Formats: sequence, C-alpha cells, structure tokens
Amino acid sequence: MKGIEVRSLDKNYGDVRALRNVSLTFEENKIYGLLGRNGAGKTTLLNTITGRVFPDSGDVLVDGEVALENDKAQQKIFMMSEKNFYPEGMKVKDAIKWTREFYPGFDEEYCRNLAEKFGLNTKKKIKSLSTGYGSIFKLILTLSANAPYLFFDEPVLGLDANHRDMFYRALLEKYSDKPFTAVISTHLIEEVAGVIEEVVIIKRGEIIRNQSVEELLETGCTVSGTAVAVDSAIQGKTVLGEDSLGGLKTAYLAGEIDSSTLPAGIEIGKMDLQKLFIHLTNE
Amino acid sequence: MNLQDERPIFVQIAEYIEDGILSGAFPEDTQIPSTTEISVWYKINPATALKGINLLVDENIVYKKRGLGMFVSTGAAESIRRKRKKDFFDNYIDKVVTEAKKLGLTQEELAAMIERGYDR
Amino acid sequence: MNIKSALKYQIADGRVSIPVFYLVIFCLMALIPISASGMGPEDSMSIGGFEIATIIFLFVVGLNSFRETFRMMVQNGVSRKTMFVSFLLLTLVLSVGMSCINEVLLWIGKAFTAGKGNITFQSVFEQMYAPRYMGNPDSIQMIAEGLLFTILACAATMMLGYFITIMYYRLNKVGKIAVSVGVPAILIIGLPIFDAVVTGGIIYRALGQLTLFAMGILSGYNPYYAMVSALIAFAVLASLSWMLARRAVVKD
Repeated sequence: MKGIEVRSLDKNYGDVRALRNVSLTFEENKIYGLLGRNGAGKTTLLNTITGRVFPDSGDVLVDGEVALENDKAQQKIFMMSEKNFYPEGMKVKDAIKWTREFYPGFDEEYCRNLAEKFGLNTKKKIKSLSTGYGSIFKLILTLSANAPYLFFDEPVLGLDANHRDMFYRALLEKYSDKPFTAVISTHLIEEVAGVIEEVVIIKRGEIIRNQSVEELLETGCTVSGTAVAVDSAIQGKTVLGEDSLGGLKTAYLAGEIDSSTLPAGIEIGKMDLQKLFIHLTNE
Repeated sequence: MNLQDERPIFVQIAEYIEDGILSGAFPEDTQIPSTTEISVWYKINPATALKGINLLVDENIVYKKRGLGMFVSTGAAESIRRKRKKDFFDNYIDKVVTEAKKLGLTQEELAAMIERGYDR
Repeated sequence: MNIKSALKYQIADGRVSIPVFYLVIFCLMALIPISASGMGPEDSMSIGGFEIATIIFLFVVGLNSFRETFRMMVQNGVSRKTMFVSFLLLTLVLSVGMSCINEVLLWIGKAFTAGKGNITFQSVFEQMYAPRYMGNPDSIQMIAEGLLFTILACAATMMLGYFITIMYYRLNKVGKIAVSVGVPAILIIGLPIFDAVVTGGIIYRALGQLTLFAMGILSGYNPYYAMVSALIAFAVLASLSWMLARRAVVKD
C-alpha cells in the first residue's frame, strides 16, 4: 500500500503526553496541512515518523514497510526540520553535495536555479545564514530532494512576504510537475488554507480533525446578528466559540443550520479555516 | 479576484475564467490557462483549480482537447451571459424588490430609482 | 548503497585533519637530521613512538565521530544501524591505512638513521617486545606482527573514543557530571587511597600483573596476547557503543 500509515503512536516526555494514540494516513500525492498550536505535537509526530525520536508504542509504515530504522523507507522521506541538523562548519554547497549523495533522485539543476531565484548564497556557511535564509536553504533542499514524501516543519519561519509567496508557488509548481506527498506543519493557517487539500488538526497530542479542507469547512458555519437573536438561533447546536461586540454576536457552529427557519436580521456565513482552527483548538 | 471572498475558491476560479471569456481575453476556441498556471498564480491546490475548470466543463463552457489542454467552447460567451442574467435576477432583483417592499416603495418609485442609477 | 554514502561522508570528514596530522609528523621527522647534526660523538638519541601519535589521533577521531554525524545521518534518512556499520568500516579503513603509513614512516626513519650508531629509530612495539626479536631484528615477522599490533591498538582506541562520546551524548546533565567527576575521582584518588590504606597495595599489584599478562609480557613477550586483548577490548567497546547508539535520539 502506498502512503505513510501511522498506527496508534504514543509518546511521552516525562509527564507530558506529546502524542496520544495518533493514527492517520498520509496518502500518496496529496498536500496536507498539519495544524496545531505551539507545543501541540506537530514536530513530535513528524520526528517520530522520520525516526529522529522513538515512539513509546505504535508504529509507522511507509509504502507498507516498517519505517523505524529502515533505510529504504526513510530514504523516501525528506524532512525539513525547524532546527538545523547540519554540522557546525558546513557550507550550503556542501550540504547540497551531500544531500545529492544520500538522495539519488536529487535534482541539482533545479536546486541551483531555486537558490538563485531566492538569492541564497551557496558559498556561505549554514550557521551564518539569517533565520529567513536558514529556512530558505532547507526549503530548497527539500524541494530538490525529489523524495515522494516531503515534510515541511514551519517552512516559512522568518521569511518575508515575497519569499513566502515564492515558496508556495515553487511548491505548487513542483507538485503540478511531478506530484508528491507534502506535509506542511504550521500555525500560519491563512496562508496555506488554499494550498492544502487535506487537513490534520492536532491538539495536545491528539488528532481532533483529519479530513479534506472542503469537507471540514462544510461542517461548520458562522451565525451573526444581535446577541438575543443569535442565542435563540443556535440553541441545541454544537457551538465551537463565540465573539461578541456590544450587542452583536457571532457564533461558530460545528454543523449546518437551516436558514429558512431563522429570524430576520441573522446572517449565516461560511466558516474559514483560520476561524475554525482557532475555535477548535482554544483551550 | 479576491480569494478571501466567502464563496468556495473553485467557484471563484470558474468565475474568473468566465470573466475572461466575457471580456474577450479568452476568445472562442482558444486555450484557457492550465490547471498548473492557475494553481501557481493563485497559490491554490491544483485539485481546487481543476474543480473550478470542471465546473465549466459541466456547463459546456470549456472543453478538453486531448493532450493540448482546455479550450473555450463555441457560444461560450453567450451562454455565460444568459446564465449570469438569470443569476442577476435571482441574486439582485429579488433582493432589491424584497427590500423595496420592506421600505414601502412602490414599483414606480423603484423603477424611478433604477433610472436615476443609470443617469449617474 | 547507504553504507557507502555514510562511509564516504565520514571519510570526507577527515579530509582536513588527516593531512594536517601527517604534515606535523613529516615536520617532526625532518627535524631528526637537523638535531642529529648538532650531536656530539658521545651523545645518543632514541627516536620513535610515532604510532602513539597515530593512536592518539584516532582516539580523537573516535571522540568526534558521533554527535554531528548522527544529526547529519538522521537528516538524510540514514538509520542508526547503517551509521554504526559505516563507523566500523571507517575504523577499519583508518586503522589499517594509518598503520600502514606508520610502518612506511618507520622504515623511512630507520633508513635515515641507519649507520649512525648513536641514533636508534624504533617503534614502541619494538621497544616493548625487543626480547622476542633479539635474534632477527627488522625481520618480516617483526614487521607483520608490528603492523597487526598497531592496527588492533588503533581500532581499539578509536572505538574507545567513540564509546566515550556516545556515552556522553546519551547521559543527561547529572549523569555527565557524575561520570566526569566520579571516574577520575575513583581512579586517581579513591582507588589509590583504598589500595594503600585498606588492601595494602594488592589491587595495584594485581592490575600491574594483569596488564603485563594482557600485553603478553609474562608469556615470553608474546604480542599475540596484546592483539587478542585489543580485539576483546574493541569487541566489548563496540557492543557497548551499539547498545547506546541504537536508542540515541536527536536532541535540541
């Protein structure tokens, strides 16, 4: 079976339950958004899949093969970590050289072009790069690796608006050209909302949503109007959250509401991913 | 096009292409932008872009030439105009009339207001 | 495929340090004729022990072979097992390679100092096992046994360095302090005092005997004892290292 299959992963750091019975599948050739607040377990999940850390229990399969300590399986994944894993004194061009050594599908020409486009100086030491260029360096390596599964952990950290734009475009271009599975872990949701097809929301180590963006958005709506009217309209519904401003109120509902039965002055709006996320992951 | 719009992105994509056909930017029997081009330009998932285009395929506004891409159908502009006129009535005229009734405007008064709008 | 890449990476890691090391060694050797020219007829000089430099160098290589390499391997989808096997291969390559170079240097040194009666150029091995080669110094047998001895000594010390570095990587802060303070305290202060006061020197005498036995001195200067000892030490250290490396995780 193609894809990455995660089966009941548990991981504790002392008293902190970083992952709780996490099961999910990253299917072939889809772009996933792995969304969660800081410390929700996004990085731990990706680190466990790539064998950077060990789970307490559960396992991971890559294309049907056990992923842990399996070179063949791990070679199909390239993960861009938020942290730097390259040696202290290594230069960008040496990192490129070695990535090509370990990932035979590495596209050097594409890598060079992308570096030029982003203005990344490959002669510099990785350590001396700014936060933004540190991210850019790792993004470029990841996109060039030509692995079937690409993990991006906080990919746009420190990037300015232009570079963020360039990254999303480069990702989509590459994806259209030759599809792969991308998992983008981020808390900047608005930006990736259109890019991702599937969404996984993680909260305190637990997966609370795992479905297509479209489906997820269809399952919610906003109801706004005067506080009194809104309160009566949302009775008996699952309310994710509320915002009030004076006598006005907006309620965020998990589920549809029948607009024909609503009193006048009440408006129904579409839920957007950002709003939904905020209300789903509120403590 | 404003993707912050409340309507689904794929609907907006379809509308953007329709606008292009109406304005003559995409004449009949010419190629429209590819899924990739739309996806990269608007920074949206190619699946969403494809869904938008498929909406137009279903309405026979564009058609597929195997191996070449999507092309504007003959009479596409006309059928878009027809559809939009109907939508215009459903979405705007209906609302205008409802609101006018609420305000106690007569049909004549409303007609006069519309005329005034044209004069501006 | 992966093992090859991982080995290539680790060898490339030494592309600066190894040439520098030999540059220093060559400079030292170049000093021999210079200092010899300043010697009077009464003076004598004994030179040697370059293999000790090699052994220390490889110990340091071992010490530097885990932390950064592990992170780099993990970033590139290489398993701990592959990384460990590639380190074993690296040990083999460097121990054999550098021991051979050492042997060549030894013979260059001998050639330079030949005929100069008051200068002797010897390896530590020759000095330790001198009685064994009394009748036929510089024989093929001595070269072969010396080479084998150096290779195994190099491999064992390199593995010792690797073991120490992984142990430190795996230990938490408290553990690191405990080992850093505890081990020297026991070896340098605790044990000597205990031996002197309580056991009356028995422990140190026993350790001395054990060393002599392990080196083959007690068995008629037999270097094969030392080789087997080095091999055992290597195997034990490698096993311990693997036990620690296989569960190593990336730290921030």
